[in-house]
Amino acid sequence: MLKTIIGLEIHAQLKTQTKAFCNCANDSQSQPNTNICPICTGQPGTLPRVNRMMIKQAIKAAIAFNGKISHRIVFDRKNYFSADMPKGYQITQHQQPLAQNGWVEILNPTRKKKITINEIHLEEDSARTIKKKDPLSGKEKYYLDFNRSGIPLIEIVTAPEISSPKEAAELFEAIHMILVYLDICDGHLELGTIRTDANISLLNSQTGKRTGRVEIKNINSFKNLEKALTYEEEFLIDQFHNFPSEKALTKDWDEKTRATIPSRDKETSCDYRYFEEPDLPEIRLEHETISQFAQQISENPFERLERLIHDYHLRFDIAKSLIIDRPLADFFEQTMKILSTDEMKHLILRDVKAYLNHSGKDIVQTHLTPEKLYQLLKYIKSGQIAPTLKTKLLKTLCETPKETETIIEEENFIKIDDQDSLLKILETVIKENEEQYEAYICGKNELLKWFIGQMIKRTKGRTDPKLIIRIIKKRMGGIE
Amino acid sequence: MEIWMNSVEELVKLIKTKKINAKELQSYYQNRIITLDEKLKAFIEYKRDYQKPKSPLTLEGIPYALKDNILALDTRTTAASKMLWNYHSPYNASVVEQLSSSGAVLIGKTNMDEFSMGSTTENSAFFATKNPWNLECNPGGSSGGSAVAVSTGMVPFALGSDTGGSIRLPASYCGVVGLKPSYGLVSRYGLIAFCSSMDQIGPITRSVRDAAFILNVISQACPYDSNKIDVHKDYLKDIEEPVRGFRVARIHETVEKNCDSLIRKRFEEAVIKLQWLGVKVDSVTFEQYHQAYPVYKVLSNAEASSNLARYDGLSYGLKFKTDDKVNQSAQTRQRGFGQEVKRRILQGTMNLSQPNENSYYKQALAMRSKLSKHINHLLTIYDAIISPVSGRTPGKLGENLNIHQVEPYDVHTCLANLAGIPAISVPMGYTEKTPVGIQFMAARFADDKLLQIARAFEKTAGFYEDGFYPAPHLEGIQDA
Repeated sequence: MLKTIIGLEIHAQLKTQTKAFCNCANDSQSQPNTNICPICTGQPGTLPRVNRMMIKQAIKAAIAFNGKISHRIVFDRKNYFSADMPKGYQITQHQQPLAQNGWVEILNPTRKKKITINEIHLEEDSARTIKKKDPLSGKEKYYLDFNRSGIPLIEIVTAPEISSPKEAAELFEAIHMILVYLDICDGHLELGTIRTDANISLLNSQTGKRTGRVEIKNINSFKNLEKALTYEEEFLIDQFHNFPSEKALTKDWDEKTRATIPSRDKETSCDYRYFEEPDLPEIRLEHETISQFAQQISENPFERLERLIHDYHLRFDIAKSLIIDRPLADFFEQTMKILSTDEMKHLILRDVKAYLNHSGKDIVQTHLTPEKLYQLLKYIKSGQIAPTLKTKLLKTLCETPKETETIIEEENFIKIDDQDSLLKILETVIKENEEQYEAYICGKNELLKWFIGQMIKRTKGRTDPKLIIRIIKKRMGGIE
Repeated sequence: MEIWMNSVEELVKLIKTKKINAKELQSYYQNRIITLDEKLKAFIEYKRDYQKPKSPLTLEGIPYALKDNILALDTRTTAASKMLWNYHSPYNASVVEQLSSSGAVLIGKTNMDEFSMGSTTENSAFFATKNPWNLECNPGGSSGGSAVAVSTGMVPFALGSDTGGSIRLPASYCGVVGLKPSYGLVSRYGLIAFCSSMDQIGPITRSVRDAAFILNVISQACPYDSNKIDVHKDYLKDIEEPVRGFRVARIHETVEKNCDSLIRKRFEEAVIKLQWLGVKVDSVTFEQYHQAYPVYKVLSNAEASSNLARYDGLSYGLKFKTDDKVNQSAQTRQRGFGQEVKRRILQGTMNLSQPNENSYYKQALAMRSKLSKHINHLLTIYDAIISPVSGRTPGKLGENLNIHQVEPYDVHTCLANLAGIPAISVPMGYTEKTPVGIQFMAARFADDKLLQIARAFEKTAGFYEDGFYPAPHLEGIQDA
């Protein structure tokens, strides 16, 4: 029996105002090399200063992952050469990580599994390397963007207790969600603000024989993590006898080809020559400080997930997709307090979500409020507004600050349901399109759709299509 | 009496009473540099044009010099290394900010051993500095340029840095006062790091009073060095108080072995002078005394190997241009660092490397805390500890280039750096041609007491008359 053994090392950028050890803005997305100073570019004579907000956020993570928090915060230097590391060492925590021995549950509808978190520690991010063609020579050149240099990271190291690529993806997702809920990481996988390394090996549980370890670096999506691990799992099954336990392989995840490629790093075990960072005195943490931080932690996403499933009878995957978007989940719960019918649920989970996806907006970036949405539903239910106009009206509600009532009045959303006016409009249509009219009454029934279309166009959708059909048939005849 | 023989305090008085104006004073010193430095080679760079004081406060436009490992805008900061020969300081060190806000004016950057590694100022990548008392001898190091500049009156005061004795040794050999303050009393921000846990900036002056005067300025609050502790003391306040009844320990081991006989003689005379002042001098044994130097070597080289990793030619400093991009940094370091620096980086790297992590580096750390504990214990009984600054007289130029083959200079000074306690070198007489200093050490942050006892000794030393130390004969130099 072959068992798969997987461990993750997740790096998450913390959501502080400033960088880990200097006062530069924590913003790696602005114009290259605009958020830099002598400290984060490693100029001679500079010294680091600890960002207290970073410590606070990391402690929150440690509490959320049930870790045992160290009462001494000490930093170490990890010495190695890399072009993107201006000091020639990284400030990290090696001998005394911020927290140890925590655990986290996997996000899965059918079963629960606890995975041990070996440690959580703080460190600084490196500069970003950008490969670009030199406009003059046309040659490929490497450029360094120091905006990212010195951004605070937490590294979360799990125990090798994950037993399948799918489980690894579920775990990554769970950790991602907890960090976003703690409001300490913005969770933008596509921007690399959270990314993971994964290592995988196989064990024959009968013979005890083990394969070497394959490590995949810098994976930035749940799907890719599962994909990359599945690929390496197959590789290991295939190579079970040729890849003994003393072997190790490092691979990079390539976002473009969506495949693993052998890493440029040499396969030597590194000697990082760790020693305590002499420029930073140790920080003592009081019990009270930790419990104070614990009180500031709001609800855990898993508790919310369970509540959504239980209180609103949502399916697991729907509830999950909702809590991933925290502001929308907040909006959903606020609206449910006003009205918790299935129609309202559908309105949010289908229509509002569709609008958000389409516009690329966050719910808080729109003008939509639970009250406006409630009014919308009321108008539809009372039959004053044609259901066909729902999407259009919702879009207007999202994009203008006006109340639902005002919008409906100003923009003529009220349904035309008086038959006389509809008949008048139909007469105009007939007058202008005599050819089609003749064809229809001569039996070309497919033209019914065309007439319906004309009517919807002329009433700007403010009519119930069923009513239109009835009026057409009444006036022009046709098969009921 | 010449103007340059005046202490900083006297000069400030002369300016305040309008006996001399600051502009004239500056050009007077600049002219002295132009006349004298061609032969002495104390300066790497100096300003020939008028430097406007930033504010006419405490220091009233008094000119000063900086060791070339302290960053100041509008100067290059080379650390006397080819590696940084073209490095323009992008910011001001905290001490420079403090001095210029107090009205002092920087007029030159002084020579030193490359990256402070050496005790002779001959390990400069540019040129050796000469001892003004005997042009065939070295001036001590590594802050040799600063000590020579003050001793010959090219500036009224200068700043040096001291990691194992680099202020006190050259002060001793040049007949001036050199203070290494308590670790954490003066901000290191802007000092090119050698050994971060021991480096300290301090003044080199023409009297103990001046050392206190400058310390008052450079010990002001600074948020950029996390190890800085704000003590808020006026170091001149009690400096003239009598020291009758003080208890001083002389460590038996310091003059017993490897001590030049003339130095020993001067030291015994100094002890008698202290006794005249009513100071009780006890001889104490310190079994592990000779461990201090090897411990200092292991730790300082280890930290240096990490601190000097940033000089890779990628974003500043020397860059060796080659098509072999992979080895560009290695080539730059190979060519940019001098022999002594490379030797120490290699040793430090080895000391931190894993197979030895539990032997050399960890053992040295353990011994450091033992030694500190013992010296701190002594300093609960005694007000100060005394010894010669060095058991050796300065060597002939050129003879010490192979430092590891001869008895080191800094065996008595490095203990203060290991323990973080303040120490000062005060002239106590002459050997053949060159002066020699006595070292006082006191408890950490008892810099005021240290200065008080050093001042009392200075006044009694016999050759410090009317407030002036004798000056080297410079006629020969000026003629040349």
